[in-house]
Amino acid sequence: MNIDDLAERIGAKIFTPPGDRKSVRFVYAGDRISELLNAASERTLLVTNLANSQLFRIAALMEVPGICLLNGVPIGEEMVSLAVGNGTAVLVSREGMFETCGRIYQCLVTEGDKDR
Amino acid sequence: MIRESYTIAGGNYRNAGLASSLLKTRLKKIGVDPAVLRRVMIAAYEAEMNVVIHADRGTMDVTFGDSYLDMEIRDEGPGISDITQAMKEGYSTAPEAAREMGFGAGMGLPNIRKNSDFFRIESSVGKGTYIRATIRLNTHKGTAGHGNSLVVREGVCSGCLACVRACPMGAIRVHEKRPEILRHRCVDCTTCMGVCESGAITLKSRSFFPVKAERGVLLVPTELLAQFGAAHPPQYVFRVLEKSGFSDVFTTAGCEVALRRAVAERSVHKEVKKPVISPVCPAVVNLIETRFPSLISLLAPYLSPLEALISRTSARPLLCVAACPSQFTLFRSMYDECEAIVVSPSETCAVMREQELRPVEIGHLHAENGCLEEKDSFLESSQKSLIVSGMNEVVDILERTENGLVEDVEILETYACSYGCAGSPLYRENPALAGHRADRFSMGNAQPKVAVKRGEPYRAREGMRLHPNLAEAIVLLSKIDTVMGSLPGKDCGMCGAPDCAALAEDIVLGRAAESDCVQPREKGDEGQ
Repeated sequence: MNIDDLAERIGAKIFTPPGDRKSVRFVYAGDRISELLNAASERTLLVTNLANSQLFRIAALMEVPGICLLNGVPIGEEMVSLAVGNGTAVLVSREGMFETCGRIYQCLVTEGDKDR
Repeated sequence: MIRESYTIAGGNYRNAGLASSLLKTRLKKIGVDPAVLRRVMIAAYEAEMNVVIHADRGTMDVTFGDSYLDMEIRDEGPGISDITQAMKEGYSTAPEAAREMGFGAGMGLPNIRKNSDFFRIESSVGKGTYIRATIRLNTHKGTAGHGNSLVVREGVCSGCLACVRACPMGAIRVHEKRPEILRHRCVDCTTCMGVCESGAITLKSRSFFPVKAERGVLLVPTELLAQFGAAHPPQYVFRVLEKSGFSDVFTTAGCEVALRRAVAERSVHKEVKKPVISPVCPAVVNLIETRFPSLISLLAPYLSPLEALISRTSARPLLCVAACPSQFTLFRSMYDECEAIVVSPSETCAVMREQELRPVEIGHLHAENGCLEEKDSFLESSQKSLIVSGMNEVVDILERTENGLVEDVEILETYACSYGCAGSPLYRENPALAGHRADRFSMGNAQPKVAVKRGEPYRAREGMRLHPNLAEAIVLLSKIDTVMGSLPGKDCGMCGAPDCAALAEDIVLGRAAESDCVQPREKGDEGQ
């Protein structure tokens, strides 16, 4: 699923400028770097509370399409530029992890229906 | 061979991961397979973060071999007092600052081990830690990077070494109750699973059986239907599956019959070299591609029944029951996981049992076993072929075939599991019984299909070769001979390798150390 559509449907704000965005097929949520690293793939959106430089590092290493941060956390300029450099889209959801994942799940499942 | 060295600064979280990033850029330029790159990155990043979190400084030395990548990470840090503990998932000594950033999940070392083909850790308290992780750059050429589907469950192995001795490919090593599968040798047969009593070796099944599988198409091997006892014959189980929410249920029966017929037709032609080997079992095809490349020309160029069934089914979502690791691997190589779900038979059986199976009258079903024409051709083609099952038997017959000793055989139908597919260790029912039931079901119910020709030709795998370059391989071989001479030659297997020759090869290729040998040496410095 297109990240911009996904962001709109789950009510999240995208902080990175539009450009070549990869599509999302899976979602993985967690607050441990090792777990995120293990689950990350080129089609996995990572949902996490961890808004730090290392998160962007693993996002770049694993070439994930995007990161979705939670609870409307403020995003610094520095982080945005880091993400832009890596080609990672940064979303911020107003909701917590549970609600956000639920919404994303709904989107991805209905998207899957359309494919059929 | 190229070597590169990266320095890692301890405690610097800002620049942490830089070494891994630089390495990634290099690997991308070389054009490393994405699946391999992923494994390298996980291992490299975790190793690098270990240095950043725990040590003052460290280095990452990377050696690019022709077919492998070797990472050595050394640090000047506090060292690890209990390595066994540190290797356990969930155990961490990371400081609070690191935990706040999301580290300290206790997954670092286990992650490195999981993602490398060879892993070694040494540590001395107060001095530092040394980690070596080797990752093969192109594992199975034949399966296009999909590797195989056997995995090791952590902390389950009892260290009995039964798998090491049983593996017909010499693909298993067990060090300190940690089985390691040498992916380049493994052909996805079920021998190790069959002999493992602790259940440490299992199928890489991450999926689950979707109970609410509306509109999905289910593909099942015929033998699965024969797992529910005399009171629930395959015909009945098939009907239960049809009613449990799938839009359609197909069995491999029709494709099995079609393949038999196609192979039989091929064997009639005089110009076709005999025996024609039926590609019915993907594990045997893997075996031939790896260990008997000279027999590749004998393989009939058709898809295995499950492959054929998958290629014929266009409906989605597609659910497929894989009865063994080789089927599982095949399925993963044919479809992206997002398009299909693969389930293991035991899970399916569990779901089936929940469906309240009612006993049916057996006599009623016997009447359905008609369709005499099919039955005849089925029997005829099976009489023409030599059916060999069980890896040891198959290896033996293939060796004889290679030596030209079975030219009187027209068709060779080989199965990696004893008693054919019904003998997969993933099934519970007695294999002879299940096979019998499944055959009878196929005779009566197989809808005639046409065998599907393979798109891709069979190709020899590089797995067993020491080195792609012949000259290099010869040098390695002479080194192995030298090492072999220094080993006791008792083939005790206590080092975790199947025999002394395998250990010698492991030592030369850097997978093991000479100190792994537990036998007292006859020759050597200490005795003189």
